[in-house]
Amino acid sequence: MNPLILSHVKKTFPGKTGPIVALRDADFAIEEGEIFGLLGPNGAGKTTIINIALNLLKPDSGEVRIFGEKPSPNVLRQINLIAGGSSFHWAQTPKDILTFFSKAYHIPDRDKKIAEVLQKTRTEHLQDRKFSWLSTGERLRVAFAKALLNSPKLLLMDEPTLGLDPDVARQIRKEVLDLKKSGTTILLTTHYMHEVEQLCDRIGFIYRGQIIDIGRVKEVKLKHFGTYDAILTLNKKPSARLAKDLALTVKENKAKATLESEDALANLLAAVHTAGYKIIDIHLKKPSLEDYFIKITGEQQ
Amino acid sequence: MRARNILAVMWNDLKILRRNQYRLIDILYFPIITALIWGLYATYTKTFALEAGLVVLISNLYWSYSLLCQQQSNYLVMEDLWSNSLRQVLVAGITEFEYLIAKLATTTIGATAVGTALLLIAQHFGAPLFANLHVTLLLALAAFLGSMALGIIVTGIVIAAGKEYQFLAWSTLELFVFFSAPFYPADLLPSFIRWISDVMPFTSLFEGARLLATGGSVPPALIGAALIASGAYFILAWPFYAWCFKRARRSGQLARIAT
Ligand SMILES: Nc1ncnc2c1ncn2[C@@H]1O[C@H](COP(=O)(O)OP(=O)(O)O)[C@@H](O)[C@H]1O
Ligand SMILES: [Mg+2]
Repeated sequence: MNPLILSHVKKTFPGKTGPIVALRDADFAIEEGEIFGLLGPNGAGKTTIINIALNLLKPDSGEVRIFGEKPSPNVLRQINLIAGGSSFHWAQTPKDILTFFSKAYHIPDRDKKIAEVLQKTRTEHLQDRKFSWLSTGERLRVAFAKALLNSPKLLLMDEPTLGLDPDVARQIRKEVLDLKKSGTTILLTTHYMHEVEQLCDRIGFIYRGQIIDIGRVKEVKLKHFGTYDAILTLNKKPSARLAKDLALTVKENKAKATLESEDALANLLAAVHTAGYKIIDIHLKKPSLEDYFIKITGEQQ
Repeated sequence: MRARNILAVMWNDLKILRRNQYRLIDILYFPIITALIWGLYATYTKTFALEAGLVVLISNLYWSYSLLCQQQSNYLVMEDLWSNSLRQVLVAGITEFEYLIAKLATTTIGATAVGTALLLIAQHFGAPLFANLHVTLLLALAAFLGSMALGIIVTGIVIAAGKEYQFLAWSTLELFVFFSAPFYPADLLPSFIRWISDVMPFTSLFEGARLLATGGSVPPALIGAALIASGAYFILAWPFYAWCFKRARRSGQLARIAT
């Protein structure tokens, strides 16, 4: 059973200068146990997808299914949300917040569960402070703790690391990976490329309300950047013959090859080695998602 | 509809109130100081305008009580909007009706306590309320239903139309009270707006309150009219609220206001 399926979801908002098309035809499914990254620039429609999944927004047409069901209150209690800049009442303490949500999520052994999530998110020392006194990173930890209360089968994360300093963001990414190990399916939206490269099994690239591409991170990258450059530094200048045979671009003792697959790299290295050269350094110039992002958005404009 | 969800939201609101005690000023300070002012005024006017002071005192009792119900129920919702926390509540599987009922129930707790205090103050300053306790309480029920109805309607409008409309929480009751003719008979309103008083939730209520003050007996038909008017508002407020939520889910307003 897919944790989340969107079928042909369309959403238009009324705007001052005509309707704003937020989702044109969002149609994708998330597989059990994966981290699925929804990657796209600001205003692409990521949050709209999350809001529709959470029944905060009704689509104009199309359907959403969470574990095969409509997002009813019962279904919502089995999933959870962490949104960047998550907020709770300023006067409440994390302990209050967790107590309330454990009631809302119908958690049987509340005190035990609260102690557990406080410990997991390392927020025990914050539990009696007012929410308004917490830093952005600490607030996100509290949101994280809240999201763990019901041991969600599906966790929706809307730009969770937005506005965090790199250290905290790294911590959060580690925790996301831990969650995945414990069996939680995760939908993560972000506009940070490195985040999906580090975290996600698959990505959907969304741009102007359209999912332009979907697949394993590597596949999506390779599809648009089928080749990548390998720059070898050798112990001496390669011969013209070798350069011709292996289609190398040579400059001094450096040789650049354009490759199509991991196998091609192994073959190249073997051939250079067999020809009697020593390889001093290898530099692979693989496209980052950043490059991909620039390329796609360039194509669309 | 689940009682435990309603209780969870109530628990949360009461907890916030405890953490945020300046809110008690809103709840206690204004109604009680106002009641004392009109109580002293009634004592003073006794010497030259026997019943005028009591009319103001008793009408004001119901006004204050209504304002408390409507404003506090809105305030509880507004605090979730100001703190951007409504989204978290709704995505935890609490329905809009459970949410609303919780807000009204929490308001009722406060309003009952303060209402009782107001009743005692008014009685102390000579309003004959205990002598007519069942009338007093039935009129209070009408005030409760009418003002909670306005609270529900204002919440609906804010959800459907946006935070900009939160000014309604502070202004709505004033206008409704004006058209409901509080200290004066509806006949005194200019004729072209007099008909409005006929469709107001509090017109018969205030008429009853004036009769209480002037020592006249309050006819059951008048009490019935007061309950029917405010009860009708109360009943109609719920589908309106549901419609507002539905609309807000479509227009994107809910997603916007809740985050
Ligand atoms: N609740 C809303 N009301 C009106 N317009 C909205 C609303 N939510 C999003 N939009 C518009 O829809 C588009 C997509 O927004 P969003 O899903 O928030 O993008 P993202 O999360 O990818 O940055 C934007 O043009 C945005 O202005
Ligand atoms: Mg967004």
